[in-house]
Amino acid sequence: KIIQTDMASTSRTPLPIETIPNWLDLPMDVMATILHRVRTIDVLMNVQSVCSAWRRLCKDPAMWRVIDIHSSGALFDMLYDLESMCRHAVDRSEGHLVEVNFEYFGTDELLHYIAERYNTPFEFDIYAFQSII
Amino acid sequence: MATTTTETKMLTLCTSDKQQFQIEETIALQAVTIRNMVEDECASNVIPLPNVNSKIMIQIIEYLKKHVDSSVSKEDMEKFDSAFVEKKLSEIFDIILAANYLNIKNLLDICCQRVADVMKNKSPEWVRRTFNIVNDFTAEEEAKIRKEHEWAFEGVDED
Repeated sequence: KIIQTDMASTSRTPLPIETIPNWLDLPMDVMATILHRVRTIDVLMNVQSVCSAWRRLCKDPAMWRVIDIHSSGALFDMLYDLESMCRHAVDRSEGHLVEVNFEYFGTDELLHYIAERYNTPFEFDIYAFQSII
Repeated sequence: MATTTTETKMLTLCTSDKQQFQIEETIALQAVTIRNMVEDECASNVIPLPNVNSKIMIQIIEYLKKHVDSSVSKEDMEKFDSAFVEKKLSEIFDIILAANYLNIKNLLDICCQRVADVMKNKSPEWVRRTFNIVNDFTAEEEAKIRKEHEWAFEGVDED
């Protein structure tokens, strides 16, 4: 992306234009490694909507091995329906889920929802879970 | 020339821009690609690394030198790592390519984590701009994606 300025410049040497690499040039397995490290909430809200290549990567159930949804308690987080997001992420893991980590939200129903989909319930770790009583 | 067994073994790495770097073998062998080349004896005196330029090689050597040092505490190593990835994304991009080619897993991991962290709380548009990615969805697909997102909101305006 070239940013041009209309301001007349007396300088004859143009400012060096920083070239931004196209990240789609990375090998796809490396790109997947990066996206695996993005927080679940950011994958759901942003990353999967960036382009079709990333969307394909996000469709891979292996992307959803770890579901990590934190509600920091900040207003930003409160505006989202975190529980629906978590269920959605569980659905997309298609049996690949190994770890769930959520904090400051979650109900027994949500735990039940996860356990139902995994024949050996709680084989995976559910930690930092705080049931809202 | 007399050589003794205690002498530090050196390797010469030659980058894409034909710069040569002489480094201790133990440092260089942390890169699995180099280790394989040395073990398979395909490398003689000079190891050609046509996919890495000297600017990136300098940084990678800095990383490898630190990580070969067993006297560095875990805490200090973590400090070093987090300072190391405080670079422009364009540089991280080049380091990722080089770390992938040289097969230096830890380095690749910390760089990938750095990139993932950049995406926290960002919009797709911001991500596209920052990573120079073109939105290649059709209007139809865009509408579908927007619809998919509706479940995530409890009544907040999308903007």
